[in-house]
Amino acid sequence: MKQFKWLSSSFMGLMLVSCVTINIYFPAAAAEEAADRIIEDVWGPETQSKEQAEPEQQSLLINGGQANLAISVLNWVVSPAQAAAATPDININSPAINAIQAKMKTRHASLKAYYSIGAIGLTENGLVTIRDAKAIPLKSRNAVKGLVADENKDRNALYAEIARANGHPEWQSDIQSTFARRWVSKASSGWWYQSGGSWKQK
Amino acid sequence: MVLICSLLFLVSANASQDIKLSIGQWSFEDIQAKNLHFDINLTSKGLALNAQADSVDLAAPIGKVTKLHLQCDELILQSESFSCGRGTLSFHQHELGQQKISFKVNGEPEKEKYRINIAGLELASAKFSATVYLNNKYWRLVTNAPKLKIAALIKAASPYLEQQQRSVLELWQVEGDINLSADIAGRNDKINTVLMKLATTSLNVTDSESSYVTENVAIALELDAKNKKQKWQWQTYLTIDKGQAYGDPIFIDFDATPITLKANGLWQQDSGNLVINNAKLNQKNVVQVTADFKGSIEKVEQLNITIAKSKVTKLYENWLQPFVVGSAIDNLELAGDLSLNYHQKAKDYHLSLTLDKIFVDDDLKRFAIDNITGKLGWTNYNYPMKSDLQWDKATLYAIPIGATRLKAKSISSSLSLSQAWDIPIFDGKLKINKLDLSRPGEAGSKWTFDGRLTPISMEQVSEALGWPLLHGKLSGVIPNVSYNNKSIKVNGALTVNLFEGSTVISNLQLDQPFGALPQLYADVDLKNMNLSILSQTFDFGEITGKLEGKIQGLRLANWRPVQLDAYFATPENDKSRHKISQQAINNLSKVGGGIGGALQRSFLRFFEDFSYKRLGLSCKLRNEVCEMSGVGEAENGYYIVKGGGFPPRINVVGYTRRVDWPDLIDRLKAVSESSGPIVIE
Repeated sequence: MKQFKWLSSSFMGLMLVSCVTINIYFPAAAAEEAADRIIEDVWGPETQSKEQAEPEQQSLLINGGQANLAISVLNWVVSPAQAAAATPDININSPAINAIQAKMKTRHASLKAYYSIGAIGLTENGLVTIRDAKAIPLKSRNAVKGLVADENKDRNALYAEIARANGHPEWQSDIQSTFARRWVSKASSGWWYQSGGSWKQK
Repeated sequence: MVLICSLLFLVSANASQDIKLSIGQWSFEDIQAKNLHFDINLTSKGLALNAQADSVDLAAPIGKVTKLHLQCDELILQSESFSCGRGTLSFHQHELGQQKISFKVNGEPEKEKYRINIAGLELASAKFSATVYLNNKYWRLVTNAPKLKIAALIKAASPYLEQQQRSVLELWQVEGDINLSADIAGRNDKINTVLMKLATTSLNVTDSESSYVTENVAIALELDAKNKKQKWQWQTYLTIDKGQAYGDPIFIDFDATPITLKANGLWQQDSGNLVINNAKLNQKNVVQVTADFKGSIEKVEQLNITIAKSKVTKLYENWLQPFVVGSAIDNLELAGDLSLNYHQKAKDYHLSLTLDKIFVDDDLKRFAIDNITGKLGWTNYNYPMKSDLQWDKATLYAIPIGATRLKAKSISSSLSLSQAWDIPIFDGKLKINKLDLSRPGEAGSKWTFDGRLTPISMEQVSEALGWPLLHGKLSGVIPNVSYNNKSIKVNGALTVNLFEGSTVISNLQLDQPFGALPQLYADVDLKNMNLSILSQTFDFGEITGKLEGKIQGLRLANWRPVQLDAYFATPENDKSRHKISQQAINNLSKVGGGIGGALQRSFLRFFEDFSYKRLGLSCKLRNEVCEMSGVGEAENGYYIVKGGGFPPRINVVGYTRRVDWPDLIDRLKAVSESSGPIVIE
């Protein structure tokens, strides 16, 4: 009887842990892949070639001996459709995301020259900002400010929409920081980015 | 007066009219001189004076002067006057460097009357010339300096400035020349009149952040000021007619839009009070502003600004658009005229805008308004200011809005309607009974309204929104709508009469309506809909009976559905006649991904319609995938139509649970657009 009690309490505990783990898990590697796909589309082929993503520790559940047990428990308690939804994946195929992506891609044709001359740079939080106003002719300053404001509006909307479309609005900041890293990683040589509060050039 | 001569030699060499005087050290009040030598000769034009000193210590800010050499070749000494018709003075001073100045002096010492002309004083890479008149306690300085280098002037002035002023100047780069002429007069240490003209032909200024920049700017400034008992009466005239300037965020191209400013007023030197009586600013082709002001730099006592009737497009491009970059109104095409009156007394103000035939067009096609005319008033005073505006037509996204007139009043930073406001929408009206707008632009800003929608033909709505053609009327009561923090919320529920049933839209919320990705949230509850009308509307094939449904957690991003939990089904215990036609069965199977015409291939083709017990479909939309279900579980699938009642009966079973949403929409469109059942023989 004691053994049964111990078994059942362990089982319940494991189920609880399993459920909680699924709910809080942010699929970092999938988010990076999703970000890369969008960035490559927006910036075009001349962005730097895709770097080998570091294999990340996905979740405690799939490591070690207890993983098999945990997964089989999951298969038992979660229906196949739900289990599929819980696999680490980030969906970026929605009309809203596509619409923003297309706008950003069109705008990039105007922004590109300003990245190259260092007039604008990538911020640590996945946005863009005017880095060196001197590099922009007086007459064009407000136009560039407008481009930067529109780009940031779209970027913020993109991060929020990816999080919402994937059913996790609370992932927005994780998605934003994933993008922030990937924008910098994919930036062309000579472009500027913020790191640790100061500007660096690729 | 203290005069100390430590050593004195007087040498009268001969009778050749030469006097030489040497003084080793000489002090007079704050002045100290070393090795002072005088040499006076008698010439045909008078006396010739030659004075030299190794060094002279003068009071600050000049300080020590070395290698002083003063020569006057035409010194005439008379009983009451003296003059030097031609003289030179050379010296070296740390900041001024080596100087050689020519001068003329006339003096009447008894009357304390002098006139001194100097020329050749080199300052800021320019040669100054000046005339100084001294008459007892009165003095006047007339000076002229062409091509004064501003950078050199700042450098020369730098030692005399305070540390704080120096640090500010160090942040700026300045290049350019100034032509300066001034006529300044005063009494003792007080200045009484100033008449000054300053002109630059190509001024280039930039701060370290490049937030304030001028490029090749030509400025001409005239200042005329008179001091009466510490009260300065002044007038100024400024012209800037060449070059470009940027002062974050305003850009001005002075070649295209030169500026003139004319102003006069009073300045109380001791209290710092400033009065500007009549300032007129004219930016050619853009705006004419007149203003008056009372107060000080720190405090506004009274301010009045009037903008004369101006082209709104030029005002927007030059003065408004730069401030609203990134907002909903940063991409506008405008036409028409605008004038403005602003009055401020201490912290209270009122603003009145007069709009004359203004046309507004959003470049992103989100909204447009044609021919707005009238007055808009806003105040924080606690007495009301009226607004009366009307327009011919407008559009909001795809919604057409007709001619309307708004009568409102503003009081204490808020605006409310003076009378109900009817806004024609499609062929109906949005009647707004109450509208309140308070503190726009501030942290707690919000607006609320409540009103009623008079019947609108769904044909027009569906056509404008690109939906399948719907019949029926849309009307409803809008209990309360509020806007706060970029989000519009409809508190309570919106009711719409559709297909003889009632549709209640609740929890309606629109986030960032003019943002990059407007988000609309709602829950929809549909009751007692007549399936016969509904199926006719969508040309689906006739189905009789009632239908109810719910759409929970509906989210539209960019006006397209991206998330919902919907179900539509025959209500439980529905007593109405339940018949479904062959065409409807065919279309249902096509929507479900099956091939139409299955019935036509069987004996069932002899029946026109079939009885059913219940029908229904549900869809859970996530990530562009619709998870489908029906009114009950069937073997390997779910019932979309469950047969019942008098024969013939029919069951329709769906087998695909996960359907691609765009595919489903395409299938629905194809069905509603096809003219009839596809018969496969």
